[in-house]
Amino acid sequence: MESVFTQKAARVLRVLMLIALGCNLIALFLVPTAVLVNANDPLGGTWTFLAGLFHPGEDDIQAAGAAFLLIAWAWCWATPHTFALTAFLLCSGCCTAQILRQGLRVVDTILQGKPFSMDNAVSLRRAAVCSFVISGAALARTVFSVCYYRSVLPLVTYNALFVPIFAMAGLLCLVMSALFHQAAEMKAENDLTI
Amino acid sequence: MTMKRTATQRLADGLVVLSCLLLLADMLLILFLPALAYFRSGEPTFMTMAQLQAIFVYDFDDGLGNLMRVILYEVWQKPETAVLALFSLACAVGAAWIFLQGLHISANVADGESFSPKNAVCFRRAAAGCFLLALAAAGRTLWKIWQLGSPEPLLSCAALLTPLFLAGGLLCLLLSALLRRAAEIKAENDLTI
Repeated sequence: MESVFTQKAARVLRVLMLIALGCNLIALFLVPTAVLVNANDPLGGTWTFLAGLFHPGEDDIQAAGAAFLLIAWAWCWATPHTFALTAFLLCSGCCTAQILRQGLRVVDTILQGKPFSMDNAVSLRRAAVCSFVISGAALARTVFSVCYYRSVLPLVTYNALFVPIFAMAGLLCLVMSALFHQAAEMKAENDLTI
Repeated sequence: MTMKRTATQRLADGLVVLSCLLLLADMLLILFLPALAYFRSGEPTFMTMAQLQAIFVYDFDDGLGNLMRVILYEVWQKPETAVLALFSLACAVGAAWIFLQGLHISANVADGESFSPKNAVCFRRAAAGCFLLALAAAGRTLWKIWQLGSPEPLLSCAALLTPLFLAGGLLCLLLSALLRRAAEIKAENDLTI
């Protein structure tokens, strides 16, 4: 009964992770555009850009908007602020894509009915490394912002919050990796017992 | 004689410390969240953070009185600020609950009780916390869509939190089931001569 529930939950989780991975890849492509349109609110910048692209005004040229998607990749490195933000978002985006990929691998093994395998321990270790990279990138950006603006305000932002959150997520992944490793050994021992 | 601690147990020790710090920071934040929601709204008729700071500098008691008035009364007068304060409080309480469960699990792992049914229960409770957060985020997003009459809030941090915490909750449920299974295997193994 519980195994049926686990399989169902794993299937839903797989779908959610696939959607998240798709959105992540699209967002990665839109990062420079979002930063250039609104560096203070990249999500709002994305909305403004997409709204302009899909619902253009009378004088708007849609092709120019589409071309901007590519040109932005060259322009986004112009100022220190946009450089730091773009580099941070691209680095974090690549890492989250990798974390989602590892998560998909783990869910796939659960769906195959082999949750306690060494592959899962390796996948979780990779996810931990990515979490630590995001935490490090967030720390670097926070330090950069504090030095660049000569203010302590960047310490009370979402960005600063990412440092302990992702450090914790990395540690959690490492612990889970060790547990999966141990469980895989235990299961192998159990399977060998007559 | 003390037993040598494994790398996993040392990692779990680190997690215990981090969980405690985050839990403490979260509890402190809960007290001030309504005030933060009030200042974030940017309503022209509302007092600004700078004004409150100036009152604190002039007279600490006056500043404290104004802060208490903001937290207990002013913030709940407008639907926008009240919804933001409620959402923030729900998130903070849910996060505190998740940190508490994380603390229990880390402490159990640090004690060498990795595969215990207690951990499975903690993961299930953490899943409930994640679902509460997802629900709160969905509620806020729907409310903003209704208020603005535009799908723009679908591209906001609050909207992003809904699938994120839904996935987090499902992950916790999965881990709970797996830990329970691992605990069964361990019990079976321990009984084998």
